Amino acid sequence: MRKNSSFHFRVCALLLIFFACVFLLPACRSGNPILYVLSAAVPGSMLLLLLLPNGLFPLDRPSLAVMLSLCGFSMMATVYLSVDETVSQGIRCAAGLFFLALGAVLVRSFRSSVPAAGLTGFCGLGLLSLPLIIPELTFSLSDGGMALVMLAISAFLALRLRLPALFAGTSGILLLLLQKDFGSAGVLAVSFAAVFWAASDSVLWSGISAVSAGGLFVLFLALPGYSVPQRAEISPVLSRLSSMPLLPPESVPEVSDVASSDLFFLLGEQYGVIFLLCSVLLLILLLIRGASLAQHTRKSFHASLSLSTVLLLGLRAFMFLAIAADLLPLPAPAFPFMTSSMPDLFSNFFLLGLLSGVSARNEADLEEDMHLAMLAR
Amino acid sequence: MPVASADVWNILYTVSRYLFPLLAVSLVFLVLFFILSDSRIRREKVHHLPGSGMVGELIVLSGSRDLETNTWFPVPREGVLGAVRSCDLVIPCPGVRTKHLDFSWEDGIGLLIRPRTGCEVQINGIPVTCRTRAADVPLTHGAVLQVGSALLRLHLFAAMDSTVSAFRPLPEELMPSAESSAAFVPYPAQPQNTVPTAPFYQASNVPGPMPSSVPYDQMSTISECMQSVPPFDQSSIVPESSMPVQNAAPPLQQESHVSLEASPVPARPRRSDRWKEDLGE
Repeated sequence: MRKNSSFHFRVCALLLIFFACVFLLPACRSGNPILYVLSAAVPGSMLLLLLLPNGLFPLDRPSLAVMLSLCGFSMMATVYLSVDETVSQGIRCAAGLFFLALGAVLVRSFRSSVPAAGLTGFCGLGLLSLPLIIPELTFSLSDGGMALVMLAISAFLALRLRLPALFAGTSGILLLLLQKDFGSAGVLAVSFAAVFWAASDSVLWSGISAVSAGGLFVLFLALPGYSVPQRAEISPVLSRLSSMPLLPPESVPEVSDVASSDLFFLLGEQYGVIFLLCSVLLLILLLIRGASLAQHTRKSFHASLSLSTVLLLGLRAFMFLAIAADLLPLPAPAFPFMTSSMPDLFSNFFLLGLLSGVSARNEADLEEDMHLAMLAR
Repeated sequence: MPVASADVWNILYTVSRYLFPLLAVSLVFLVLFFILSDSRIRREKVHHLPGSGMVGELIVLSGSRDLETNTWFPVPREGVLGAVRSCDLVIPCPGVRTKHLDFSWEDGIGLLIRPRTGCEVQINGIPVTCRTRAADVPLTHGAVLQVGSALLRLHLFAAMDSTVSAFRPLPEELMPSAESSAAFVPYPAQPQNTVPTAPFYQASNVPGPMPSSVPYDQMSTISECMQSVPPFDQSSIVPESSMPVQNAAPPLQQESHVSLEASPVPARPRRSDRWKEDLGE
């Protein structure tokens, strides 16, 4: 226990020093008081969250450390370019904490029952169908909808109700394909088929789920008049990546359009490719942590849920990188936790909240076993 | 208004060009070690709690040539019971299908048994199929489960505390008929010369037969229901050394008890071998 605490405190200390320095340096240059406030507020709030007592609100510390690091990276991407944008990103991240708590509470209080699973699935499909019902909608809630649909699928599969799970999954894919959101539909289809395969314990049902998900794609591609939306520019990202330095450049580079630029690539331009690699590695660590949590769960519902979360986050990041490397000609999704789009950011926080809830459940189960063992003595 | 002059700032920026990447890489490594140490601590905890995640044990009252009487199986919260080794509970007895039933623990109710399509089990003599509502006939502390030719008795770690609510009158359609009650022999007669083979549950420790004299429809009070379950003397059980209650009592020194080394219960095969067997099957 002592060893783990020491790593915990080391991570806290490093986050404190790192992000204090990151915001103090531009503050020394410009003398902007907001940057001074940020240099105290950002590491301070990170420390507060990481040292929050487990009894008050149980969160998965390693996942939280990764999330806070990625959020910090997303804020420091614009610190030399636009302080307002940095503050906005900070506020967005702070607001996202509500969804983190919501996800954690939802897992702890969610009981795998047909009404609960049905209601969650209905809400998820409702969010996915919003752009079809209200075409004027300027933002997409597909990430949140996908998270809820996967939650419902996990609950149905835990109840051994494969048909409703199949219906929820295929309906979600269908709605995304109708919106021509090919990337999200692909992520949902792969996650759905993988979770079905892992949880249904039946080759037949796994085959049915995979065929139905794949069949929808084939059907839509064969439809006359249906076209997959292409990325507007070909390979602009790849050329930007190749021109990025490994370490931070000798002088602070200027970027004209900060608001429309992707935070991930802004970070690379401002601080070098090494920070991009660190971001990707941190996300991989988060996915490993999620997979480990899925292994230690006692209930198949929690295992499916952790797996769904890991798949949704991992596949989005993989798709982002594949599109950045010009392997997929689709519009790029946002890199998890490094986006200025509020719905995407909030859905990422919600997914992490689900993981935290599963982790808290695992810890509670282990504590219960230890208590039983103690009573037996 | 800038705090540092241009020269000072340039020096600071140059230092930060190397310091920040170093800190970022350190952060990645620290988080990695944090995750690894957390996993290691969890493993250590579980190592000291080998029964962690188990809700109880199923004790074989009557098995087959491949399944010795008095063998016990730790029961996880959820899983599959069947004849192949990929199942969570492997019951190699005639009449047990490859994957016979799914089970899951429900707090306050008991172990819910869901036979797969075409499979049937009996809980305390009551036939249960895939059409039966699992919550109506839960497997509670001391209850006897008949799967194929195997008779298994459940012993819960949490004992009766969490399953008292399960003792309620059964629905009409699930009432055991007079013939089935009469035919149900929960604890078949053992040969007199049977040597207790299980290392921890000796014949004297295993609770007695489930009396079938009180039909469920005549059980009006909880106390009556409780009386219908044979008394289960916790203190009479010699805990297994690898279970959560491992330190509860020292191992018995009586001569009549069979030591662990003398146990004919075969060692659990390696996981890779189990996979091979399953694939073969």
